[in-house]
Amino acid sequence: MRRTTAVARALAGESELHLRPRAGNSMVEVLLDRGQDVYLVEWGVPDAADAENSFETYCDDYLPEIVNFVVANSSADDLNMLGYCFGGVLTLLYAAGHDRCAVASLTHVGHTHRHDPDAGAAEGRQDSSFDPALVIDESGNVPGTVIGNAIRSLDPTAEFAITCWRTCGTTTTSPPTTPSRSGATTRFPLPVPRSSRWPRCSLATTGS
Amino acid sequence: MSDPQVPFLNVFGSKDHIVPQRPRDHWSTLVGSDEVTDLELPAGHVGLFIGRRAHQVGVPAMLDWIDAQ
Repeated sequence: MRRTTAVARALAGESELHLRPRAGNSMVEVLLDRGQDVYLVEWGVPDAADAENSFETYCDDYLPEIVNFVVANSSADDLNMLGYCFGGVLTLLYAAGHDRCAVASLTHVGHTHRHDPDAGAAEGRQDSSFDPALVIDESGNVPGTVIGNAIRSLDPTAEFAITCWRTCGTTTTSPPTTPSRSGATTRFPLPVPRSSRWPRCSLATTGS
Repeated sequence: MSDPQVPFLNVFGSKDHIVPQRPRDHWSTLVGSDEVTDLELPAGHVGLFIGRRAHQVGVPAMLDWIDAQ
């Protein structure tokens, strides 16, 4: 009997990018290669109809329906559930509130039950002066960009480095090659930027 | 609401600055499962899934655990 795994990502952000099947760099792809059926929960982009959603909406309404759908459409009687980031919170609450659910195992990735107010994405947001109403848009939801920018603010130079790498890397049409010790020619595993592109990055880095 | 009783795997990155987790967050005292496994990877929040190291070490380890359930 084929095993089944359902993967639930966070509600906001771009976390699905590293869960979706992409050749050579996808956990979903590896699961499929191992012979499992994989269901990826897609929460969609919230609109005005989602403004009043609560934990109960996801844990008591959506996830039971999702699990029932998966079991009805797979050959197994139960499934393994993997929750990433906030998806871990939702799947844990679902499993805790539905002790007879068809979940055979729970895997939580990048999720904690104890948010440190002085570190991580929760930093400064447990301050009583923080008013969530200030970041709600006209649809009644917190835009994903607010979450994304909060995460970026934790390590702003990391994004600059990635942007720099992408900008420089994509200008290279033919990665340089280097002779290996055996005398054969080996291609670098990653595109190496042309040296002419680097001064622009260096100037920004040093501020000169 | 009750404690989840199913086998539980907690995967976290020691370099995760978005959702930092201490090595001893005591999941075993919070869930009712007989089997609670911690898997600490030398990765950040996104690096838990993508990148060469994730696919050499982290992803195979967590999928081995899922396969065994």
